[in-house]
Amino acid sequence: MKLSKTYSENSILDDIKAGGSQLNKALGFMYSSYYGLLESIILKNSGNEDDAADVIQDTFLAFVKMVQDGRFRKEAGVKSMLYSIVRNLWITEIRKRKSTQNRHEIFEQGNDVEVEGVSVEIEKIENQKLILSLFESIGKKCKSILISFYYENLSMKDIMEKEDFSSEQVLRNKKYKCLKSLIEKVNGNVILAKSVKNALQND
Amino acid sequence: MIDDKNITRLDAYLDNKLSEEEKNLLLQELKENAALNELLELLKISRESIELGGLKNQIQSVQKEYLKIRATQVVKIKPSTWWIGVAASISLFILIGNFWIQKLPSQLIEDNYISYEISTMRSSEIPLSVLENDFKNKAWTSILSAVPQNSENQSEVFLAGIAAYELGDFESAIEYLERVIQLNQDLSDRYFHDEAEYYLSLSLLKLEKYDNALVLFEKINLDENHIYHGIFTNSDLLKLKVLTWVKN
Repeated sequence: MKLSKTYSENSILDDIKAGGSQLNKALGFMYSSYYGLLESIILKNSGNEDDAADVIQDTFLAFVKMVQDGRFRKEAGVKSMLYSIVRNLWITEIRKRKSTQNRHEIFEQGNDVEVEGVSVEIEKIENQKLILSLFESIGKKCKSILISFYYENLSMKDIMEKEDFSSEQVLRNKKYKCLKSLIEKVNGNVILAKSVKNALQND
Repeated sequence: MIDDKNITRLDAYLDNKLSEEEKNLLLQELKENAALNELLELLKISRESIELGGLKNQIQSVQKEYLKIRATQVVKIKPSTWWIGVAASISLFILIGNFWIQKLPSQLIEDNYISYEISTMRSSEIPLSVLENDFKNKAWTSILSAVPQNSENQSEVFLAGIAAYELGDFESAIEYLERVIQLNQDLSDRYFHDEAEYYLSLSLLKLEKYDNALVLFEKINLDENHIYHGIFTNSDLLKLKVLTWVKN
């Protein structure tokens, strides 16, 4: 994919909001422009390339949600926001790993580079991870059907062909079983459900 | 309450696919039926999880593709090729002309500028809230008035440096930021050192002091422990070298 260096911030944000193939275009640009910088934050603070890949993926997930939900303030700048989210996510990860040495190194300078509002976003990211873990726990087939229907907005006919179902009715039944199973998982995690529900209500 | 019929109705409601009559009936039921309300919340969370799952998949596949291409490029670029590329780039820069050269400094700053946002200030002699609020409110003049000329507090002097930068007074910004670096030399706690070097490099660039800016660009780029390490690309360094060469 050939990407223009003059891809403006407004175009990036518009493409993220549009989703689909336009989101891919914006992601492609951000990956080629900022991945190296974001990776270096992890690498210079005791992380390895795998850590960087995980944190950067979470960062883009959080950033895209932030833009799509209308919580991104343009004046913060895309690069500044990504930089700040990665740094804060990595600090959170280090805290989780309880590595005193790493923590010392990362706070050596006595301050964090933090774009305003990022700490609130970090809380949201933690909630997103909880929600995602519920979804990840249902079967592969169910995940594929639900994503095709709710995220990719494919028609039942297209999903039927993609997932190799004999009829639309069989697919429809399967889809509701999958959704029901997911709802039951959410319901079964009382604390999780409460925490997520509060997070959604606070949006 | 978790039955197919209610799930179907609520799902259609969230998709705005109910007729006006069905919708009004459901809204009435939701008012009176706590369990149905609970199911609606559960459904919203479930749909949110599906959306996140889909988004994660999409991001994952872009990331996978990017890393695959990057790995190929790293393998392909041999040292000799790299230098040929640099030499070719230098030749190209020379040919591009005056207009492009004039745009370079502002482009370098635009590409690499990360605004400083205050988080937690420590060990400030001025009450924290005053500086913090002034900074958040972009009251740059107030910050400059509040910080004494002879302050030996790195945090304060750094913020004054940023305030001067934001006001476009790059001479003063350089003075403040150099002072932060100087103060750190005499102290064991090196606060705001990396930040001062980063914004100093940009201030120097603004004043076309390319030689000095280049020293800092290279330092930041070489020091893997620098907070801003990785922010300047090899291409940025090359551009700055061209500016230095043209100016001299």
